Amino acid sequence: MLLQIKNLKINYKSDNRMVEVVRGVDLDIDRGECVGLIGESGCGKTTAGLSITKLIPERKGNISSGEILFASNDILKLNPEELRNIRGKKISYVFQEPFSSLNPVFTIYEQIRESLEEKDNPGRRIAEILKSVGLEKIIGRKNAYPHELSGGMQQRAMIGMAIASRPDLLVLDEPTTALDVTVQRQILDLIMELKNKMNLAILFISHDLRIVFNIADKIAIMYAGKIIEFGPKEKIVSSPAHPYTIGLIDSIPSLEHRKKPFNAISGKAPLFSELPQGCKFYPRCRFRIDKCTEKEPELRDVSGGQASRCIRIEELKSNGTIKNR
Amino acid sequence: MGKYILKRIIGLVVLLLGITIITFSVIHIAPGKPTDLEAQFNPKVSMEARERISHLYGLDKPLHVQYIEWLKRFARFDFGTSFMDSRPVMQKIMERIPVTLTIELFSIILILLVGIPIGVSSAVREGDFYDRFMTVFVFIGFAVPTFWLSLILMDYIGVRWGILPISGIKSLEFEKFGIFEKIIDISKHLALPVLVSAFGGLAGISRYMRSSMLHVLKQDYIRTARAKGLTEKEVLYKHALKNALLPVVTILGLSVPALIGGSVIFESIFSIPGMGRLFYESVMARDYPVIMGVLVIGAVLTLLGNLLADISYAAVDPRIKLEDNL
Amino acid sequence: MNKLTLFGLGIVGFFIIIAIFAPMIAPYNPGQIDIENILTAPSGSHIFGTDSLGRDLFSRMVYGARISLMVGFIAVGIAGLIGIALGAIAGYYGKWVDAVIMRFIDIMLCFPTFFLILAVIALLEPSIINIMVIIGATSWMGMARLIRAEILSLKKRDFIYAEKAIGAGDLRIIARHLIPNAMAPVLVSITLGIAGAILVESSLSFLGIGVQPPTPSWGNILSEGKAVMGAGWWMMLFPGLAIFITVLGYNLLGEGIREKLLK
Repeated sequence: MLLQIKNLKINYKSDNRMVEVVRGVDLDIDRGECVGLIGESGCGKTTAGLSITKLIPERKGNISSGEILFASNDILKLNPEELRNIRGKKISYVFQEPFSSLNPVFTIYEQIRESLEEKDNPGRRIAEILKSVGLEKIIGRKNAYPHELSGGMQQRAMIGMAIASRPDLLVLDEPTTALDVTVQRQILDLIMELKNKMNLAILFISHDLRIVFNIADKIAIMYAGKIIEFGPKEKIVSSPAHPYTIGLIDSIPSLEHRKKPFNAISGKAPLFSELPQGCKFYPRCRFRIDKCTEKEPELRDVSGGQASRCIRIEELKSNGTIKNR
Repeated sequence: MGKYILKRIIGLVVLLLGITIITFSVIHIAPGKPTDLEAQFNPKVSMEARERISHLYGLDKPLHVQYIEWLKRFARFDFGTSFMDSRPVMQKIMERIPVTLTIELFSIILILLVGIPIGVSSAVREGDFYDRFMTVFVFIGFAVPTFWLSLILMDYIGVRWGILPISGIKSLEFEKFGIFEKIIDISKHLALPVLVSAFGGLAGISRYMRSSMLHVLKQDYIRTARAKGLTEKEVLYKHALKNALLPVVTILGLSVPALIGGSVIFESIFSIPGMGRLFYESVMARDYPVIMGVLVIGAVLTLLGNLLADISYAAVDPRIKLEDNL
Repeated sequence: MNKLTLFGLGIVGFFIIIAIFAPMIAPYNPGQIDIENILTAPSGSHIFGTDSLGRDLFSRMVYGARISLMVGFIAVGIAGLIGIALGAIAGYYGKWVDAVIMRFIDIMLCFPTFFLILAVIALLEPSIINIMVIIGATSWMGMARLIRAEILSLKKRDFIYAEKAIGAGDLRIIARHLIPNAMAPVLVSITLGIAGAILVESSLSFLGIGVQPPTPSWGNILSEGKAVMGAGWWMMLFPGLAIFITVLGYNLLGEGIREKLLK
């Protein structure tokens, strides 16, 4: 296993008080595998992603417990020097807003050059990278700045920076959210192509199930700082095993489901400072019973590789309240 | 780039006209004619001088005619002659400008050399003891009156301890010195004026630099730089600093008028024969032609300072070049 | 409120009280000359010492506070009136009115303010009234820009449209709604402006073209102190400190208000 996250807990500063926003996350990603991490904004998914190379600013948050094993080394135990040899070299990031994520006063060439693992003869290698991310137009234009590119091209440049050092793991945090729909498709295709070509492991963080259905091999659904369902994509699509996942899938506006009533999840995500007792999804759940509030359910295997935190899922499935689709 | 400068120069001409109108109005603010005031405050002024100024301003003609004629002379940098010694005003100003500009230049260098590191290091260590200490220091810098600081430095460093000279820009025996000694002598004379002149700006720039740097450190591209595995030095002093420095160029341009205005105070305290002292002396003597001349030249210097700042900004910020290319 | 702001407020309040109750606080008549006691060092009977005419320095400083604060307040009041009026007109009417006013501000900002003030003083007499008016008339530009920017953003908000819909006049909208809503940054600007005006007044008085003796002001006391440098350290120390502390107080208060109101 390339990356193993074990019982990760992170405190984060919000309104001058520390709250636990990642409350015990376990997640494994193997080489050549794309895991989608899904959740509403503020559920802790971005924080979890950043923590993989300890990118959370110290004054904003800290990792209180857990292990992040990357190629069997615990990242949390590395010194800053060792950490830097992993950041951008073995584990690379692509963020949501390409425009603000690229430094406006340095050229694309310079920003890619900084990410190269071997520094000699950078021109040729940069041209290679630009070609592989579909930025042939930029090749040779050594003084092209980020603002001269379109949003899609900027994101291609970000991806170029990320793969420049031939990393093992790519963390993509909402990489297509800020882009036009047609451009989104192209960027996803590029990511898939690179993944296959380079045998990359990918953690794809998104709030959008549709995109993740297109690209991920496995999917983890995060709610209020914990993973509440995990499994292979096919299983999650055909037989979701948590009411929250069902709600997310039902809120996707799609041609096939057009006849069904639009079935969004009611209510708002809870604040980390005011989490309910027991199951954190309880207040918004259509199938809640009193027993759900007794204690927070464990993540348990419900059917060969698919895990859920819902205590009623077998009952609801067997009595037909929840049907497979 | 060429188009950008052209656009700037057109704006400059408009400002220049405005400056002449305001300067011209200032002369006419006074109750009665400048000539009357002149005679009233300065008994040295003869009838002949009064006629000269009356003629210079064409005070018998309608206002707009007076303005146009004054503007024509202004275009030739002809501000008339001084009441005090009948020398051409422009000549008097030009021989004073180099001293003032030298002091301002060194002050700006000092401000940048000290203010930027203070601001950057405060931002990097936001909230800790050093940062809070520097914040207090900066507030003190803002509040200390320059003339008081000059007096204290003069009294201690100059008079009591005798470390540095306190008056003028060269010693009496200056002519006998070799070239090296001459440079040392002038540096010694200019040390206190430069320090005093830089003091207020130092506080301003370090405060500005701190907030600029803090702003930049919150940007997404800083996270990107860290995610790339760059060292903290590269993140702070390459990726953040270059962005944080850009607006300082503009601020520097904007601080030119304050620096020039401040020259009146320290030049008269340290008896430095610069533009500020010339202005002070002409104000005390009600030497109108010189007052008007210095006022216009001071404003023009400010304009040039701003223009220089804008051009430098365009030169260092890649985003501005693009607008011009389009 | 943080400690520094509170400290600033304390200083400001302290000097305002001194200025108001000057006749009760000052132990001597500030103009009372005493040839027997020229330039005596601080002592029990003259806690800040005496000046070169034997006048009690402490009493002169107390009355000087009146002058400095009065000049500061009134000058900033004048700057505020001009700045708010021009800024509001520019922001509210926009178009060519705005363009003309903004150009005017740009031009005013080209002049080294201190030069402009000195030039006008050379033409008029350096009386206290003239000084207040001149400082006010040359320091309103920042205020005008602030008000204009605030009004530009407020103008687009719903309640202004509602006022127009019920037929309120321009003047009413500007005076009743736009200006009060734009007051927060102006308050900061006013507080910092008082500090600036006090500095300018004391600089002018120090140079001998501000408040004229025998009226005491911190600046002209310091100017006398320069003349006796070495023979009367108290003549240089106390007025300088008073200016420094007062300006520091207003600056701290202004920064405090900025943090409180604008974040």
